[in-house]
Amino acid sequence: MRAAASQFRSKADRVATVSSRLATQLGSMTFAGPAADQFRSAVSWEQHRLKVIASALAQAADVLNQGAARVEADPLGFYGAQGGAS
Amino acid sequence: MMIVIDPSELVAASDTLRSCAIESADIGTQLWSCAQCAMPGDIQGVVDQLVAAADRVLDEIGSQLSLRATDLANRAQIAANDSLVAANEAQALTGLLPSTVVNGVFGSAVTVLTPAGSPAESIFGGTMTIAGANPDVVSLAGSPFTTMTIGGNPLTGLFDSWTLDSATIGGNDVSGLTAGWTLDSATIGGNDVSGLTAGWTLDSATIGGNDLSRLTDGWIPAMTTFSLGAPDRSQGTLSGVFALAQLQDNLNRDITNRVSAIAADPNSSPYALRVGFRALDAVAYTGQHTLAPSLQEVYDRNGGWIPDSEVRLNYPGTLDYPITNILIP
Repeated sequence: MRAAASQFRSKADRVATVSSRLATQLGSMTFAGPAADQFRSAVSWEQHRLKVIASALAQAADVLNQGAARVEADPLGFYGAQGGAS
Repeated sequence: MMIVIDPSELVAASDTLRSCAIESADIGTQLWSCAQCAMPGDIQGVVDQLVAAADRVLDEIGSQLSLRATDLANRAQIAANDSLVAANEAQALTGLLPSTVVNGVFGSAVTVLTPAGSPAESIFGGTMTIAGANPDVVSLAGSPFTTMTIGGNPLTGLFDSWTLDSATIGGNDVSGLTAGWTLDSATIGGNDVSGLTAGWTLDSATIGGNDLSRLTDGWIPAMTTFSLGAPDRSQGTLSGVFALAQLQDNLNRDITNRVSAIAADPNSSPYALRVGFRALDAVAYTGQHTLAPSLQEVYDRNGGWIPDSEVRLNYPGTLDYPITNILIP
């Protein structure tokens, strides 16, 4: 679970990197006019969605880490059995 | 309106967006493998839901970024050729775009000018004018323009699915105009509009030409205002429309006469008067399309010649021949 959490954290970082690249691209473009406004608005929205996803993936990593901690604190496996561990 | 574009930069931006699109979709796919390890059921449920949602949204984002990347690439190419137009005009040339223009969006020998005659920067601004001796406009599908003027002979390559607020089309041969245009209004002039097919969606249209014989019935229902002008109005399926307009005109006159009689009758009840006047309101509303009689018909109705001022007053549209209007609002 900690390994999975690490993977989720890694994916969150990659998503954040994509979002950051988009922000950099938007900020550096010489592109003005109605089409440019529409473009910036659309890409900004996608950038916003990427941020939300990065945040959600980071939260998933936290959940997995917390779950791993609970499993480690329960050597008899009671937590996992109760929760229907797979 | 100032529009600034650096084509080379747009190409680079397009590459970045495409890369981000691929990356987003790839992350979404890989998320599933992250969720495969053994974990308590309650956590598994949360993670599975999150992965499913994130994968779907990442796919959407990838798709959107890919579309934007393509759009940027197209604009970059258009802008690059637009610079050629500007350069040509600066050299007092015709401003014709070269034959290999714009990723296949325009064909050969197309002049793209703003209404003011300046080069084609404004094609991004919602207005475009295409004029020329032979504008073979092979494809403008998905045009972003809200207003456009098209003139030339012929216009054989115009494709469907344009979305325009208004269009002015002039030319001797618009036979290639296909169904599926979505226009709030259109002005079409030419000697042969025989290729105009059914299925246009127009709120209004003005059409002039010598041969309207092939205008099909599918046009008419979609139009709220429709003006036709042509020396020969006798041809084709539109005769049925004229007959309907005449019928409507007759009905309107009949209703008006009956209500006038009610109003003139001192014994008419207030209820009858109200109903009558409401009927007149309805006539005014539905009578937007009135068949304007010919000048000879007007003379016949009035027992001989009457001055134009009186004709114009009582029969608006009659003197507009041959430009407009048979059906007048």
